Amino acid sequence: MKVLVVEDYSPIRKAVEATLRESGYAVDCAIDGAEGYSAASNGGYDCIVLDWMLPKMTGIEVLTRLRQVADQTPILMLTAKDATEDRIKGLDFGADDYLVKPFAIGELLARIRALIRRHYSAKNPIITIGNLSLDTIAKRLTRNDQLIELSAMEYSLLEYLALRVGQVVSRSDIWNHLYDLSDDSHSNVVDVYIGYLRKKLESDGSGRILHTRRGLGYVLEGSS
Amino acid sequence: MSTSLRWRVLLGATLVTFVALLVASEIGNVMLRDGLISQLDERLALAAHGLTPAFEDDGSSVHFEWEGAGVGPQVVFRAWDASGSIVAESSGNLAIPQRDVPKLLVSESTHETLKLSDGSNARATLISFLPKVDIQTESLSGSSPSSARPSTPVILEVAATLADVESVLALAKKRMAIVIGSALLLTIAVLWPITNIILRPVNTIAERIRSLDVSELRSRIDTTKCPTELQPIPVRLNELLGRLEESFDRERAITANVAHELRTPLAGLRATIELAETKSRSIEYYQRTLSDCGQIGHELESLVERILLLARIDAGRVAIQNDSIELESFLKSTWDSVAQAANRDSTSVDWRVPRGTIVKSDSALLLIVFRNLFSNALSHGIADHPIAIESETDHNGIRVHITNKCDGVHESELPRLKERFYQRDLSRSQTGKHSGIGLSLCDDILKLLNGRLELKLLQEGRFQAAVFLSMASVK
Repeated sequence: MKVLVVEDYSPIRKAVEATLRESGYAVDCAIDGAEGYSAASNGGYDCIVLDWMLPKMTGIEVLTRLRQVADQTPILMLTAKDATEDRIKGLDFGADDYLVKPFAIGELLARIRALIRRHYSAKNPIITIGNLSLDTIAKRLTRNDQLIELSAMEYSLLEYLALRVGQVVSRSDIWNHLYDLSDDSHSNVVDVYIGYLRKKLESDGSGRILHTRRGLGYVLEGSS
Repeated sequence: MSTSLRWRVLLGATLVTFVALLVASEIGNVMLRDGLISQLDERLALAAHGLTPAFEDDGSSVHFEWEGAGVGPQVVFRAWDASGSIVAESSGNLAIPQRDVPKLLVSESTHETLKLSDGSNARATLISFLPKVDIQTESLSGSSPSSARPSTPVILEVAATLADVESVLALAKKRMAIVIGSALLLTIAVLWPITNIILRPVNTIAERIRSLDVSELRSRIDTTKCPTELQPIPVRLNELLGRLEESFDRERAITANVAHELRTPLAGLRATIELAETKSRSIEYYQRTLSDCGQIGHELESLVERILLLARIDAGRVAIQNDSIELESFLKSTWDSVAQAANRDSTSVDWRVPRGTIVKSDSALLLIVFRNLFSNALSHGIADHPIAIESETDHNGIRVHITNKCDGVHESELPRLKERFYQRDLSRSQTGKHSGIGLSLCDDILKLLNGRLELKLLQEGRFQAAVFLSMASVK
């Protein structure tokens, strides 16, 4: 999952970025509204954490412009404005959630997770596909009640595919959602991780659940 | 009851009606009495003149020969001759009290009030006349009428009791009392609904005021259909509400701004600490985190100090200590510390402050002012353009100008720059350093030091902040 953090106050930006990275998210940062809008316009983010008071372009302006071009990326407004009318304004302009500073890092993460789940229409934090169960909070995978250890990247890849279960997801789409701008890797790396993941998922002799659609991408499908 | 306007109007109107009726009644009474007495006087005069033919002068004395009926009920008389002897007097128990002969010329008449022998009030008429001369007496003496002794004048007093008059007056008083009582009751009955109508606008305004939501300062009283006399009440009240609302809004805005300015660094502090706690980390990481937290703490402290100073200035709790300050060295040392903290030691400064100028002011407060202004010049000034710091003294006082090249400030913005929490850029990237209270604080401090802060836009996009200190501050 890839998150864009648009925050001008460096201590918050750095802390949120580090927290998200440690939680397995790919993170891009922007230090003003214009930069944030430019990054968000390129798409590929599963969530945007947006400050309200920003130089060059306010968070509300960024939000309005993104919604005007029908960008449906979940946006969490992160701001020191705590008045009810400010919250109403933020939500009415198209924000999906609103968090007032100072905030608990854990709450921020939970809200981001919830926004991403909601975006992919997965209400339950435990995604079940056939005999596979993925706990998105504990970041724990089991198949036939057997725990499968995954690396951070393997987990992110599986979570993204699990959220889009039944849908064919292209390699570039996966790459866009799992790698941030600072990463030098190429989209071919996705194939490598798909191979690792498939091997772990089928290690107990269970049937294939992660399929390749030649020329199209990958799909996670399980028989119930 | 005393607090009810309606009762007061009713009571007042009734009282006025009562007094008016009472006065009218008294006047009527006096006029009635005068009328009755005047009639009685006329009657007594007639009676007195009716008695005069009964007096005869026989040459030696005056005789009274009355053959008619009495002069009237409760009427008494007495007559004196010129020598003061009583020549006639009514009979009966009632009599005119003994008295000296009244002095009266012939044909004169007068009226008076007196008390009769039984103590009752009476009205008397006095006349003086010449009695007729007995003809037989003249024939017997053989003298001609022309040579006869002239008749001596008789003074006749006829009196009658005032019992009838007093009884009429007493009856009139009784009836008047009934009239007054009825009139008062009628007044109350008529005024009760009338006061309701008169006081309706007052009640309407009172109702409008009562219906105001005290927790909602945006409420206003509807002044339409309000009588002209009462217009000032809702108008002034609305003005008062407006000012209250403005003041509360300003207070709220300041509180919100303070909260906002404090929340952002606090959020940074909390996020940094929570991140460090999520797992075990290296010593270098903790050292870096502590340093970051220290920096944020320093910014917070500076912000809180400024907010507290503003609050102390507002409360008038800042004690001023007058120090002798050598301006040039003071400004240069302040500049050095600000430039060093901002890592801008190399910034070129065009100094034009003469050596030896002594200013008498509070050095700690002036330090805050110049730190802010120098910091602004460094932060907002365009790099590579020198900053000019100069002073000039005239008969009014001393001015220290800080001029820097600055883009984007418009003339219309100048008055707002001194507003608290005014942000030219909504950015909080300088949180803790440029929160929008610096110039406001400088302005407030300088006012406290009998000076002022002047902001100007000069040609070629140069911005100038001038600190003015009055002559009293210059040694």
